[in-house]
Amino acid sequence: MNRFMFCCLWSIAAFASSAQPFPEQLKLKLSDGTSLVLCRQMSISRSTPVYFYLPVNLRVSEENGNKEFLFMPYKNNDTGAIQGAILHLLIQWGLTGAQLEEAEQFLATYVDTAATIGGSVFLEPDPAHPDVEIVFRQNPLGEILLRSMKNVPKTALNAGSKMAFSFGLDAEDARVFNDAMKDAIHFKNIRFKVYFKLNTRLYGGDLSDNFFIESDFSKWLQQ
Amino acid sequence: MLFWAAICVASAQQIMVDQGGEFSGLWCFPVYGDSATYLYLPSRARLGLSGDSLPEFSFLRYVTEKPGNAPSGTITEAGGGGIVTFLILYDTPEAQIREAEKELREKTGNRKAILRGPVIFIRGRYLLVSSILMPDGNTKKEVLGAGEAPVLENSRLAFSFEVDPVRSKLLLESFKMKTPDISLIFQLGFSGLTDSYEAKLDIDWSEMRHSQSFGAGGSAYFISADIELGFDELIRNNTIRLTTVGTNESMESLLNMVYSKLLDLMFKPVEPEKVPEAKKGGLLDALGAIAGGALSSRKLAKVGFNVAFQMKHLQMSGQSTLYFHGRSTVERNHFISFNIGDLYRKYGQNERIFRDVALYDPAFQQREVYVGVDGSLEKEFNRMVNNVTVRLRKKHADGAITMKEVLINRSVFTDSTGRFRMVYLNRGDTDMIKWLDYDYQTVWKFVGGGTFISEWTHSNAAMINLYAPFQRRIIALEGDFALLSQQDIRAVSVRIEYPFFSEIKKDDRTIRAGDNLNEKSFEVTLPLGREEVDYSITWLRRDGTKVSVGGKDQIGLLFIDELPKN
Repeated sequence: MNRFMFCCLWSIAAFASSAQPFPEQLKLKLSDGTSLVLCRQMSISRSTPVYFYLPVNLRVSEENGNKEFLFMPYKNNDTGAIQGAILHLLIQWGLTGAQLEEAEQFLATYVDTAATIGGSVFLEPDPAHPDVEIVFRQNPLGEILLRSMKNVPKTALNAGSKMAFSFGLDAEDARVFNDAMKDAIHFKNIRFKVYFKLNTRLYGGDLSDNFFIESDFSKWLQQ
Repeated sequence: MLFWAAICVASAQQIMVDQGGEFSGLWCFPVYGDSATYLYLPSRARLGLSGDSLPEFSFLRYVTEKPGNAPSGTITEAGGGGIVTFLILYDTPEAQIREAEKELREKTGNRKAILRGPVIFIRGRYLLVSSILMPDGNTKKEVLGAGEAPVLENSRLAFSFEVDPVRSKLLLESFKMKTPDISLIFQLGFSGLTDSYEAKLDIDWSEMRHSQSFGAGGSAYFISADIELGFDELIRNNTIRLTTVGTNESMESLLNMVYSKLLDLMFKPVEPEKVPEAKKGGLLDALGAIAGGALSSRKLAKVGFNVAFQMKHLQMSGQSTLYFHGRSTVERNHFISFNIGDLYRKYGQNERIFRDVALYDPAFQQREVYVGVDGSLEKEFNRMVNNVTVRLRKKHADGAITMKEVLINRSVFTDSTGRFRMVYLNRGDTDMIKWLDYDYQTVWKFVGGGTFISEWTHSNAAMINLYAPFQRRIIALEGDFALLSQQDIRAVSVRIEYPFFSEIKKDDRTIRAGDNLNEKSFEVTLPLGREEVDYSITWLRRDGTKVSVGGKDQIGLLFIDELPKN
């Protein structure tokens, strides 16, 4: 068995019975557990199957190998109490280089040796949720994030584009947050959600035209 | 049969937005009419670089003197702050372009495919994200800086912010981290053509007249949202049959076009105010609901929400066929975000990037010299002193001389709080120690007309302590008048003379038998440094003859019973 954790080829019926030589959509699970949906679009090349992937893998972005994440509590002096804190982070979605390579290898193995991935699907912002949202249930740390947030980034529609946040925490919130940072579990179920609208006519198949991706803040702290 | 062709005029620069792809991290789109030529979306934002490859960034922290609130404190907090300035642009690395072009050729199978240049954006916005740079008083959820961004890559966008001392320190500490609290987002809009669509629309007019939605014919008024729902129904029940030719990838654009054409065919816009009262029904309420966002019409959005329509009196019968083919222009957004990065690690020691300065510019400084008046002098304004003039002379390094003076008399002293000051500026005095040096002189005017002008005195102190240039002395008389009486002395006359600045003062006493000598003493006022007074004592005998003696007294005591031997 190869290293792909092949989940399903749910449009396999269309693959087999229709006149189309390649499936419109594929679902697979990468070796790191990431679930991926690939949608075929013929227009980019009539001769080779080109697939685009649905948004996936919402994460803290990296630059030069460093996570773009800053948590900086500050004091008036070395022995004094925390007077406030700055939290700054950039997030992005999309396949990493390794994931993209793995997915393309899957296509070459199971679909067509010429099959390739053309990037993420073409998306539009969801008019009902044009901004990144932070959702949680009864978690004071989530409340702190909301009230200290200085900007609300718009949804990035292309894979790899980054969304930047800055939070300015007052003294009390900074002390609570700083204590909680000692264990990421305190931030469990505080989720960052990004909503999209998909032109389903472009890709066809059984796709919802409104969907979202999300990730848990605690997961980012553990990375 | 009707024929309709919608052909959008596409410029040579238009890209095919539905045919793009990501190659080596670069989004590329083919140009309309030239499937081998692609344009790319710029991939990164960064700080601009100067000619010597240093980032166009500076963080200047400055310190200024600030009046302390606690006068007794010797160490207080200085004033100051910081100014951060940087230039940002977006571009695409040449190496990435070449890599993307290579991958583009491989994936499209088109060996002649080229990346010609960047997509030209139709509009751009930037958003600066930072808690530290957020000015005080701004409400939350508000970004620090937002505005129009350049639409051409490599165009620089300049930022400059001034921060208070606390934020200045916070910003510096933030710069020492790998992800400082400054990020920038470019939101760049571009347009392009959708894929072409070809479709045939068959309309059954007899079914149309019986449709649930539009059966009322010309007597009914509609709003755009209702019309769209009606069209949806007509398509569902095959009153209107839309048949696409080839792929249906651009169905969304196609439906927009179809619905708009149907709207033109079947309806005419009317102003809601002109709809007859009897026909208005819930029309105005529905329009109000649309304006409030409760209803919306997506495919007919271009006609505007606040428009009512009246159905035309259609004379059509049988079946009609409309043909559609063409492309639509759509707009998309591209985001480029970046964090300013760990500049301090690379350039923390470079004073062209990070610098702390003391804003100590002597040209803007002034020296204040105070005049302190001793409490004992206050009494002399009543007795001896009319007024005092204090003169200050400052010889500057540039050769200029500043002369200042302050006049103190009884009324000025009483009205003031005892603080008199003179100020001189810095005129080329680069040696700040020497700048403190000055000379002063005092001019005393005494009661009775005397004047004393002191020598110029060198000083660098902030205070000129003013004290009286004279001293008081008591010259007592001692002796046994009984002895003098035995020597036939009838009276003794004592005179003292002493200089008092520009005049000679004299005082006389005459002592007779029975006088209390304690009441005959002299009180003299002598210039400082002078201890002696001239005196003369004359003894008067009963026969009218006199004996005199003179001398200088330094001890303050004259004996009147010591007659000269001769």
